Amino acid sequence: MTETAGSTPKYPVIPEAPVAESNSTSRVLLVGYGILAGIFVLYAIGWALGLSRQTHIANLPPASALSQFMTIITAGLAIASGPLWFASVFILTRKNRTFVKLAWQVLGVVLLVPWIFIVPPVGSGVN
Amino acid sequence: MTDTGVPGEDRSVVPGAVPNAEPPVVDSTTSADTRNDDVVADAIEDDAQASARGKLGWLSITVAIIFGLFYVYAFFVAISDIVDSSSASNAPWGFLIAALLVPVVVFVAAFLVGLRRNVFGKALIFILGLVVVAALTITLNVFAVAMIPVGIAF
Repeated sequence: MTETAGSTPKYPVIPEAPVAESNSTSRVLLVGYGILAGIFVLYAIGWALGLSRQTHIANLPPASALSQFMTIITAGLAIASGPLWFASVFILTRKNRTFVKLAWQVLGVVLLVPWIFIVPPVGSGVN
Repeated sequence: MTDTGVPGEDRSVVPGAVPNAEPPVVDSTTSADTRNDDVVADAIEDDAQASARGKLGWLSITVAIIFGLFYVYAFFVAISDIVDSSSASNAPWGFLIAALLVPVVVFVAAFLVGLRRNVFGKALIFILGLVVVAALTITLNVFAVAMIPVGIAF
């Protein structure tokens, strides 16, 4: 504090807000959300890079317009899957407890792993 | 209509007004607009109340059907992949059948998770389910193709 001892305070002293019991859980939540957001951003990058490596798809026999359209939609959803999961679960679990919030987020981390980035692409000579 | 409808109600507001005076045009259009808004709001509200009781309003059913179409598409793509692979002697049946089950399981899960939410929550959960279906379907096909290069996109 810069205030010297004995000087009369200019403003009425506002008592500190009572420390909420959920202070530690909210800190856990904040750190958890930070880690999860980072993971989901990496997932988006992984999906985008992994899908861009799938050059064998271009060599497949021509598909119907609907099939091509849905392929693009599916690829877009997959790239956006991590951030979409994070934002949606954030909204949907607003009223839930910390554990429930983080559990649903972790389920997304498990479900949406970009295996397409990890598994070597077709024709790379590895498989 | 104004003279046979509710007598004296409009006249009581403006005592000296001409009895047959028509209401201003602006007034009638705004009331029509609010009536439309009320219909939508009522539909959402009714649906939310039904959802709170664990039942399904027509709005929820409509949303479920519309999003269900996308799940059905994924289901039929999986069937198509199985038919395409059926001639191959070494088709990756495990992955193909898993790809068949994913849309069904995820739709049921999304339906159950969103059962007590309002229609917006239901829609968001169905979209989230579609995202999961997209990711899992691609992943299963990547594994399938990595094992045996059959002609599957996703």
